[in-house]
Amino acid sequence: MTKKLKFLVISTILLICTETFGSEDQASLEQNFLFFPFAHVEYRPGIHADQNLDALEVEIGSDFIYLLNYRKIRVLAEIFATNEELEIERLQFGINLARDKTLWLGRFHTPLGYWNSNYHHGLYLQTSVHRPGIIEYEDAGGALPNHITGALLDGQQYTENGVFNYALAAGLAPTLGHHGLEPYTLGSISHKKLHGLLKISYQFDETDPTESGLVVGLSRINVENNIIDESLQSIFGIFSHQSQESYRITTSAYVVRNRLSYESAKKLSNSFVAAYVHAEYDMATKWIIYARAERMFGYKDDPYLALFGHNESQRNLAGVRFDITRRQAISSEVSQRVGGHDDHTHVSFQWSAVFP
Amino acid sequence: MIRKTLFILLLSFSCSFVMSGELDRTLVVVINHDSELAPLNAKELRKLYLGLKVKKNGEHLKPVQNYSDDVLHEVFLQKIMFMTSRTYQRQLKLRTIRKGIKPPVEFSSNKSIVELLMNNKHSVAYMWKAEAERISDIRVLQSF
Repeated sequence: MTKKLKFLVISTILLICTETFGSEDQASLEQNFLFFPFAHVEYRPGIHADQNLDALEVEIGSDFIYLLNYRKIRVLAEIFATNEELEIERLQFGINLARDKTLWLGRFHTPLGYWNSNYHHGLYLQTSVHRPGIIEYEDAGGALPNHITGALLDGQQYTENGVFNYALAAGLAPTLGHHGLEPYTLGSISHKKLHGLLKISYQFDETDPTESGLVVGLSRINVENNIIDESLQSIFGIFSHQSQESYRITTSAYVVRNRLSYESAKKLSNSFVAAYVHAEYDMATKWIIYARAERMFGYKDDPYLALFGHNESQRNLAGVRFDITRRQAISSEVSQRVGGHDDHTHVSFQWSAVFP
Repeated sequence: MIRKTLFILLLSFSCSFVMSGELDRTLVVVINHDSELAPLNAKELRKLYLGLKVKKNGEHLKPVQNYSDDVLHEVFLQKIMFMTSRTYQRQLKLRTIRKGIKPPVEFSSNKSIVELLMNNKHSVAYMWKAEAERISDIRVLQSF
């Protein structure tokens, strides 16, 4: 997206924030503004000069979220700004079709499972410093679409004791360019290839964060390559988040199949599996220790992953988090990655917060 | 024998004194004095304080957070929400981000809470029982 267009959209969002619906019918109007500032230091000991990576990286920024409810209308805008980028993460316009059923139009997060739906750029909300590699952001080398522009039907279906949550998304698929996946954004070229995803999960108790479910997706990804036209990507995933008094365990596994269509009419298919287990334990009121193991199978000869130029096959990490106040936390994490362009030990420090 | 009796009496007196102190630290859910709201069950209270809709007598209830006392808030988390402060905050923020659900309003003084309850029959708050009993404009809905 061009800088001018970004500026225009951001200005419009801010204008909506301040001037929404004037002063009339204030009783029906509810507005919320949250921001998630963070400061992140990443150190890669033992890095070589020819690896085109910085041994020390510092990133400072914030995620800004604005929400508006006016009768049956909803607006949700999210801007992610750092010292390196400025991105309109989400811009959704929704209508409540019924109680607990909302139809959204715009740019939103792909409901790829528990992690992507719940945390995304809200770094304070996730305990670890880094997110799992398989759902890495597109601009950080992620192989699955994290963002989609189109329509999203989001709702709940109540049972006698629990609740089914569902999210059905359909929209424009990303393009696989020279720098990885590029989700469609306002102003960019659309190749009119579609992406669809369905997430269903169940909670035994609506007030309990414990949740389990599955994800099914199909996407036609345009490939900007001289010999490959597109990849038909199908995703099947399962996930579970178990929350008990002093510990939480999040697990997820994805089977990703890609069928590449070549200019020469040749077609090539392969599947790979990516899975992770993330565990957290509350050592004391404000101290949490955590660890995560990530593995990828069937990645070696995968022609789709080969287009990214790197295959991170495993990642192990462990860390500790201290909640300084009710809204601020500091975390320290050590991770070891095998494969991929960033195949190093990482030592990370992060301050994260949420206001108000 | 007299010493033993005196010691037991002293111990009993100390225990009753401590226990009466604990009774004063009972958490109560409070509402407007004129509200006709009946006590809520545990699940309804949890839903209410997670920002989910709870409708009674044709009106949506409005939860009020009391941050006037850290111990009170901790007791609220343990006895009503059954979750840690961090889990509770995370649940509130997640619901706001995902669903646009408005979190409960927050106050750091009982005076402000009482003023709100006096002007709103559908608001629900909590405070220490000893303090609630001193205020005539509010009614204790239930104790924990």
